[in-house]
Amino acid sequence: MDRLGYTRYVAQGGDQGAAVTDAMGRQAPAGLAGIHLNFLREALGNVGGLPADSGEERAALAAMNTFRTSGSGYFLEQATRPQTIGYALLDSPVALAAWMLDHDTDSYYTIEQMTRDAIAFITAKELGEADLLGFSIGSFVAQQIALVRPAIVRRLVLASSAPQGAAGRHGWAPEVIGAIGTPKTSPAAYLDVFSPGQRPAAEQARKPCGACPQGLRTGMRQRRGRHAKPNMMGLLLGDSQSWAAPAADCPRHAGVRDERR
Amino acid sequence: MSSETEIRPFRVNVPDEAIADLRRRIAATRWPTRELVADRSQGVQLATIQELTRYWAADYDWRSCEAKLNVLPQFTTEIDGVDIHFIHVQSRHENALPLIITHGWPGSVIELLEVAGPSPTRPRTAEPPRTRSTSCCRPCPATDSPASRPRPAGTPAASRAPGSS
Repeated sequence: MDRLGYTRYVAQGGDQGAAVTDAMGRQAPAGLAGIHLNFLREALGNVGGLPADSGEERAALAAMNTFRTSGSGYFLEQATRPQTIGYALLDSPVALAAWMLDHDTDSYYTIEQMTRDAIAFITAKELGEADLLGFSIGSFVAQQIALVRPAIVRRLVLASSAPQGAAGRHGWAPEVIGAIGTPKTSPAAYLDVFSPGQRPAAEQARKPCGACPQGLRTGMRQRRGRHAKPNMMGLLLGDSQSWAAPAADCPRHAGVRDERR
Repeated sequence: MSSETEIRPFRVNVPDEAIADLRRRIAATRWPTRELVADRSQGVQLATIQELTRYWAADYDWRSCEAKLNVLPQFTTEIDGVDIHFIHVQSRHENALPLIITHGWPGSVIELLEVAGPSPTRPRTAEPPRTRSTSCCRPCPATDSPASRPRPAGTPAASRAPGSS
C-alpha cells in the first residue's frame, strides 16, 4: 500500500488472506487504520479454548473439528511441502482441478449449502410442490427451504428437530439435550463423535456395545475396510448390516437381544 | 524508482496454444482406479473429476473469464522476490478510504471480482463504492499463474527484498 501511495487504509482478508491480514494488524504498519477478517485462523489452533454454549458455537466447533480431522490434508501439505505438491499441480491439470475441488471440502457443507442443493434438486426434478421430511440436521435444512422457497413446500414434517435461526431459539431445548446427551458438550465430546480414535486408550480398549453408536461405527469400519470413516447418515438411517450384538453389560441396552439369523 | 518497486500494468492473455496444450494434457490423463468407498471420504471421486475435466476441456470458456479480469485495471509488482499480481480499482470519490482485500489459497482474485466492481472508466449502474478498493493476490508457492511466478530457482528471496538491488 505504501508503494501505491496510500497513507491511511484498512485491510480485509479471508482464508489464508485472513492470516496475512491478521499479521498486518499485529505488525501495525503506519497507515493501517483497521482490519476485518471473515476467518479466524487463530481459532483453529485453539479449539479446546473455544466456547460451546450456544447452538451456533457448537455448530462452528463441529465444523472446525471436521476440518481438523478430515479436511485439512491440503493445508498441511501446502504449509509444509509447497514445492513438492507444486510439481503435480503445475504439470497436471487434473491434479490441480482435484486439489482445488477437494480442499477443505467438508467445511462447505453448511445448512445454507444443503438448502440450495435440495432446492436445486426439487427444481431440476420438476416436482412442483414437494412433501418435505427433515430429520435431525435435515430438519434444519427443511426449515430453511420452507423459509426461503415456501412455494415448493406442500407439507413439512420435522423429526428430531428444533427451532432454528432466531436469537435464543436456535438448537435443542436444554431438556431435550439433557434427555439424550450432555447439557453442555465439550471439544472432547465432539472429537469423539467425529473421530473415535482420539478417545483415551483405556476407553477404547473396552469392548464396545454393538447397539450403541460407538459400536456401530466400529462395525461399519470393519465391514468397509480400514480406510472408511463412519458414515453418520448410514448410522442414523439404520445401517442394519453393521449392527453387532448388544454388550451384556451395556446399561442402555439391558435386555435387548440380537434376533437376526 | 528501482525496477524492483516498479508497478507494471498487466493483462491476462493466455495464448491459444496454451489452451490447446491444456486440452491435450487433460485428454492424456492417466486415471487411477476408482475410490474404494461410496462417498467422498477418500477424496474427490473418480466420476466427479472425470465429469469436471470433461466440462473443462469441452465446454468451459476461458476467454469469457479472461475478459472479466481484463475489464479491471491489473498490475504486478515485485515483493520479496516474487511477482505479485493485483487489481487496483480506484473510487471516484476524492477522500475514499482505501481498502486492501487479500484472498486465500487455494483461491484467486476471481472470488473478489464482484467486490472489486467494474472499472471506474466504464459507466456505472450500481451505487459507486464508498472506498477505493485494492484486491491483492497473494503469491502461491510453486504455482505458475502468469503473474505469481516466482523468481528463477536459486535466487535467494532475501537478496531480492524491495529496495535492494
